[in-house]
Amino acid sequence: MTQTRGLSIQNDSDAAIVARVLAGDSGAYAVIVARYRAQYARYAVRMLGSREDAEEAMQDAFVRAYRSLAKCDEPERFAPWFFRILANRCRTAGTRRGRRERTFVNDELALLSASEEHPAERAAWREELDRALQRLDTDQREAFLLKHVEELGYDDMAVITGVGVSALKMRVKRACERLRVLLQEVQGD
Amino acid sequence: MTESRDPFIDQIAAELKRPVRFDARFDERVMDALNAPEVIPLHPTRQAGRRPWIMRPWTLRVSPIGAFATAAALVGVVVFSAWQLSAVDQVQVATQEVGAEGLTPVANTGDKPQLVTHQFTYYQKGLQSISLVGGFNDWDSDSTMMTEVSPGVWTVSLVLRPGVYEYQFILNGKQRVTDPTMPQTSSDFGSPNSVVTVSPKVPQ
Repeated sequence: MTQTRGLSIQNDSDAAIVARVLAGDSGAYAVIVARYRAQYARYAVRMLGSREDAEEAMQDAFVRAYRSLAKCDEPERFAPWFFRILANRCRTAGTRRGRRERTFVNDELALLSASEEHPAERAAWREELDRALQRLDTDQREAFLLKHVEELGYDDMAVITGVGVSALKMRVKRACERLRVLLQEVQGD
Repeated sequence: MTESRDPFIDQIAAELKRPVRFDARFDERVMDALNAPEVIPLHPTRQAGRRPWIMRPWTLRVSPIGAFATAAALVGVVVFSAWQLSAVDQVQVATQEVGAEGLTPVANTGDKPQLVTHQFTYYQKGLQSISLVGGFNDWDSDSTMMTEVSPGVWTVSLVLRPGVYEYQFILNGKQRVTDPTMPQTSSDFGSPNSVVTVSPKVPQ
């Protein structure tokens, strides 16, 4: 468990930690890092397709959030504020990456549980799924992950992405359709 | 609003929800990255309570005789250093006269990071205060106050490392505005930021 000067992940609110950081206790930020690394690592990896890229984007987001902490008007709502920064970082990183082929399979295989019933089949399915996800447009992938993986409502998604609800619904719909087509053959096996 | 469930999409989502792990030293790397100062304010006004102890100003109390002794010692050090430097110069001049072809100019910057003084200016009359916030001061609205050098002309100078910085002005402690003379970029927080590129000095 991450601890710093009596702070514990389980017990202290985001607002309390942010206040301590702004008062000069920069070490308290380690609690924030541990808390939201665990919570949002999945989104960054799924969005960017590789653990290395995700770590880079997330580190960038944490540093930006730290340096802008005084601009966080509602520290009790640090999570959505930080998620917005992270989503922007992921979007920027994805754009910079362009359409370069991703080789994230090894990363994902490393995350497999050893106790699964059919590891080879499972790994093949995950590989196809990750490949299909990365073939979506960035906007569609972002909308799909926010809606179906992070399970956010459309209003929260609109705040994070700065995109209207109707446009987000359309992106999710198209992402679902595209994934269905891309994964049809795998699903039929 | 209720939404119909799609088993195929649910299956995909369930697969994508499985947790991922980052490198074990990720948190440590982030904390290290936080300690990379980008700016040295010329006239820092940040409250001492918000700084780490090592950056807070010290207060020294010295008796008159102690001050006199310290001043005398400093004068001695300065005189001795000047004499030493003079001696080194004479040796270098003598060396150049003996074998000038193999000599190269002595670098005067060493490995120290180059710093550039940049002046920020904002024009508007009738304001009580303007503070400058940006990536160089952690967006702290209290740390960099601008000075009205003539009616409606507000300036502040910062010593910055060369790089690209985003910033805003805060008028009367409330209203955030961009610099109308500089390009803008969208920020992570909705409102746009101004962007300035601080270039390294060109060697003379």
